[in-house]
Amino acid sequence: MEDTLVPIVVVGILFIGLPWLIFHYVTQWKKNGGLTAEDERLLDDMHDMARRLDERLVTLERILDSQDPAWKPRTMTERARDEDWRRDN
Amino acid sequence: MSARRTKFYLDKRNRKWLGVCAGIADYTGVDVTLVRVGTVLLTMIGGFPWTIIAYLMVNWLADDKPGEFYDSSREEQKFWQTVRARPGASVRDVRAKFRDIDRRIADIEAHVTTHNSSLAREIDSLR
Repeated sequence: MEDTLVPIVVVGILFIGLPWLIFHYVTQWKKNGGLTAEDERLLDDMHDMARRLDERLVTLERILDSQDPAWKPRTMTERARDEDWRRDN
Repeated sequence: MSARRTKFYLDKRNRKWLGVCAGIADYTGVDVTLVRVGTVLLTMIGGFPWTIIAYLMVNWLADDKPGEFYDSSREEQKFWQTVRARPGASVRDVRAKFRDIDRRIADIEAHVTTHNSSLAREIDSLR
């Protein structure tokens, strides 16, 4: 009884379970990594643009800091109020 | 066909032998020493011919890293490593960056257009 059951289970695991497991992960990986060349280029552009805009903003903020050191705290409270408003509405 | 950012490449400039471990480290963001030690350990605890066969297979199948990717900044490398692992998360990340930029521009705009700006004060003082 056991002599026939063990090979069946082993063969089942080896030839059905294992490929199923591998294909399961392959499909999952394909689903997650579905970024076409076009998407990739767009993302690259966006990331680069965000970085450049960020740099410009840092420059602008530094200029404003030197011109009028009082500007930051006021906008901070305003920003908090703005966010509260956004959350409430 | 331009070079892809999400493809696996051999890192021939940071190689010890053929650049497979350096390529894996560059692709995943795992420390390169850790990858090499892991490979050697795996070979020693019983993977003997297979790790080397896999290494040579990867070396034969994968392309070398294109030259223009070598001079990308550390921040850029990290960004593409998260893109490879979780593309959706990195797209959301970029959107969050744009939101932050939008908020800061709004702050600057509010400051520049507000009546308390230094320009308005100077005009007031001239009267």
